[in-house]
Amino acid sequence: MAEKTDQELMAATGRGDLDALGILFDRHHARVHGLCYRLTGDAYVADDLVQESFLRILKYRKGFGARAAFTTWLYRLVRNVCMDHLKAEATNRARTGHMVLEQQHERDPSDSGEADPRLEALRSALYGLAPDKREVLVLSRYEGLSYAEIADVCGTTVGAIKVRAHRAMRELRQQFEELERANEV
Amino acid sequence: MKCEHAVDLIIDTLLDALDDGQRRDLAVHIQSCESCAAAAERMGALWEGLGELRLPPAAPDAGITFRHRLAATRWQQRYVPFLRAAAAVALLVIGGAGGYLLRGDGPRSVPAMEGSTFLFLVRGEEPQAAVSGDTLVREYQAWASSLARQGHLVGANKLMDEPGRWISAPTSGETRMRSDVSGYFLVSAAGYDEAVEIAGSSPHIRYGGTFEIRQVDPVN
Repeated sequence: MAEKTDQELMAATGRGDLDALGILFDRHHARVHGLCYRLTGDAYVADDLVQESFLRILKYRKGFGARAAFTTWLYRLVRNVCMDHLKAEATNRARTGHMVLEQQHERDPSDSGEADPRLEALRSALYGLAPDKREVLVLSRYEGLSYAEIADVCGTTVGAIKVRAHRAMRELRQQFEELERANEV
Repeated sequence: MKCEHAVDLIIDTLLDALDDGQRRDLAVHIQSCESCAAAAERMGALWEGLGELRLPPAAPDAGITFRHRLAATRWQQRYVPFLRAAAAVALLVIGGAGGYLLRGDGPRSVPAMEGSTFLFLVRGEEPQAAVSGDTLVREYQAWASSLARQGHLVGANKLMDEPGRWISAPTSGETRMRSDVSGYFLVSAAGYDEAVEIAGSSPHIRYGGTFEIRQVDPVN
């Protein structure tokens, strides 16, 4: 079964073959983890969201069209899982009066902490962006998606994505330069 | 070209979204504008820097964890609808004939034991398929009868399948909304530990169902 295409494995998953979904997991989970991590900035949360994403594939397997590109459908689903998580986290923070401390559950500081202070500042600037702006940069920079593909994944128009990208890069630059100045003081 | 527009094009360049004509126009502008040339260099460096940010590896046991969750899902797909049906039958039996026993005038009535009262809310998703399961229904009935004999069972009822009504201040209207609670058991126990133990002995929990356990406030 391992030699089957993603579409064939999804068709099998749709018929209730959970082994096919296991193969899709093996094939794509590292990439999905990368996307979840880039969107949330937390390796442990990304681990959970990977599991959630693939279980959501099972839940929504009937919504996968046989002619659709599996990776685009997967990106859309994973993006929604991550955005749901970030929204819930923001709501939780608001409810608790911002008393929840920022927690970055890194598996090991050396796994994701940046040794170079400039890169660390860039990382902070990236995670200082609003999620809807960060996702545009992440989907372009790390996943290589075009504006049109990002619009498809995010369920909006190319024009809206362009505007978000322009604002995101300007804000990234501004936040990075502020952090750089703060580090120099 | 205005600088504001040039910066947009610089960003579009990074995201690989410019056609050849736009690239040429931007190049011409940058050659004559120091500010935009600096912005292009700065943003280019940021874009490169993003590519250098480290990426932690996925959990090494992610595949094993997922297989376990899939196995649980496979089990739930097969049995949970069946459990719900069995629980519903048990609740109907207890809520009807059981009520007669619990009133105290039945032939096998046992006084409710001293202790606190706990509510076991039967929770779970709607069944996805009709299943049969005489054996499991019998297990539910045996469990409930055993509770009654030991004086633990205070009451039980299955709730109607239709959506309930929700109302809350300050609106005066009501809303129909389906909840995942399909019934309840009222159980007498010495404390939460015993209540959890009793719940754990039920086929509902043994086969993967969920109870929400709440202690009844003795004030009422």
